[in-house]
Amino acid sequence: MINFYNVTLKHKNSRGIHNVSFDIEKGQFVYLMGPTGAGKSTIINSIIKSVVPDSGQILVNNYDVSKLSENDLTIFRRDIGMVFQDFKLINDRSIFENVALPLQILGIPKKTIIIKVEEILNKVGLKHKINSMPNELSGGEQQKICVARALIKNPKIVVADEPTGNLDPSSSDDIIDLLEKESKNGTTIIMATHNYPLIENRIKHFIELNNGKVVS
Amino acid sequence: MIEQLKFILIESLQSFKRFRLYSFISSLTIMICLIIISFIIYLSDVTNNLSKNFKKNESVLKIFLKNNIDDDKSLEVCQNIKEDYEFELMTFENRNELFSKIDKNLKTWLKDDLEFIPCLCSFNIDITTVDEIDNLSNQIYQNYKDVIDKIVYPRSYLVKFEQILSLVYSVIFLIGVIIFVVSIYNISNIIKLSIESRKNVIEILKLHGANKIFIKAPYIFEGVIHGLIGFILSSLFILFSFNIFSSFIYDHFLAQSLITSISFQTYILINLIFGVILGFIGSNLGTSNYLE
Repeated sequence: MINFYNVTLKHKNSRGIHNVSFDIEKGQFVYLMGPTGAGKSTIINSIIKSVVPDSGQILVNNYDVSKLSENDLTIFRRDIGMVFQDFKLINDRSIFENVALPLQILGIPKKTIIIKVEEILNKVGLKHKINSMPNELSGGEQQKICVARALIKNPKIVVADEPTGNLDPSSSDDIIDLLEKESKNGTTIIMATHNYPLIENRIKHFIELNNGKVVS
Repeated sequence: MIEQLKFILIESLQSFKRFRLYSFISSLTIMICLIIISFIIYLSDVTNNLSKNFKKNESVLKIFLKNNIDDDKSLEVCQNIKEDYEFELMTFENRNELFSKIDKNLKTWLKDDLEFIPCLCSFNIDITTVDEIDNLSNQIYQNYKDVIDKIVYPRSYLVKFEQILSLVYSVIFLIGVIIFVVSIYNISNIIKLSIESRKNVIEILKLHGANKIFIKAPYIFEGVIHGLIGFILSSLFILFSFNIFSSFIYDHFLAQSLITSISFQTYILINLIFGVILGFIGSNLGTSNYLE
């Protein structure tokens, strides 16, 4: 589902990834682990083509990511759900509008959107917050909304970049529970984290990074 | 597709609620630009009217008939010319009338030889260019060369007037173009500022697979709506100015030459077209520069 072949990407501050190779199967839940600056976010950003590697090949969902045209990139990203450490919610829109956004981009009819948004908010336990604004929610709730927004379009892949970075342990557990549930339904999930204690009891597949190289 | 269009329209309408200040500034800028554009059109119209009136008064074709033709025959010839060329206004002056205009000293010298003085017919002509007057005078001369001695009109005076007029028009046109370009630049800058404050929304849209048209369209619609609001505001201003100006004109006879021949409806239509164009081009430029 996700294949990295000798991928190298150097940032201006000389950080980045060097000769990284790995394969992730469909439906796997893979943790990207490592300290700050290890290259976790670079890998996540390479998968969604927010950055382009200097060399190597990245195959995601049968797309050669480096060769995606602008038009193909939009189609490619529609199959990927994204969860970010800073939530990336739109503060002047309600929870309903935030969660509905990916479906509105796809041109789904409003009636279906309403049903789906209610369904997914129910799943993350925040249906009662449907008309609230993001700043009325706690950090953990905002991240759950972010997960709901990532999952609403039934993506094939979910990439999560430090989704528990700003959360307390209980909220972090809730978020990982949500993602694990989704993984059991066949969604491939790749989650970057530096919080090993949080995941040590859950871990099945992981890629450990240090100084931009795969350690194990 | 319909759902996406609905989304784009709702997004552009809701931006007025979300970004009141930017919407207000943008609409206000368009309104000011439209008022200035309307004023330029008014100025060009008034200049045109003034020049027409001026030419009508000054473009007089003076035809001196041969001095061997008597007064009655001369009047007949003049009337024939008037009918042939459909001139509206004609002034005929016989020898005595012309003689009375001559300088006192010259009169003493000429009084015994009145036959020397020809009859004169003057026609006010409604022609806009000097070339056309040249053609007309040649035609008349060719058709009546047996009876016409010479035809004169203030050619150099009219040529100078035409040159000044063309300069005035060029300046007005240039100001118009500059204002139009500056308006577009202003509006695109305001849209850019508005986008800058919403760049997180654009980033999120991009990450969720929105294409360029989907991201740009709400801003372009928004620009067009700003154009329409600017048009409504400028129309209200023009309506107000029309009323004030009309009452002023009735009180001041001299100001009547400043009346515009363009109707209020035409001004409104011009404002509508320019408002939409300014909003569209401004927002399109603003988003293109930013999103590329």
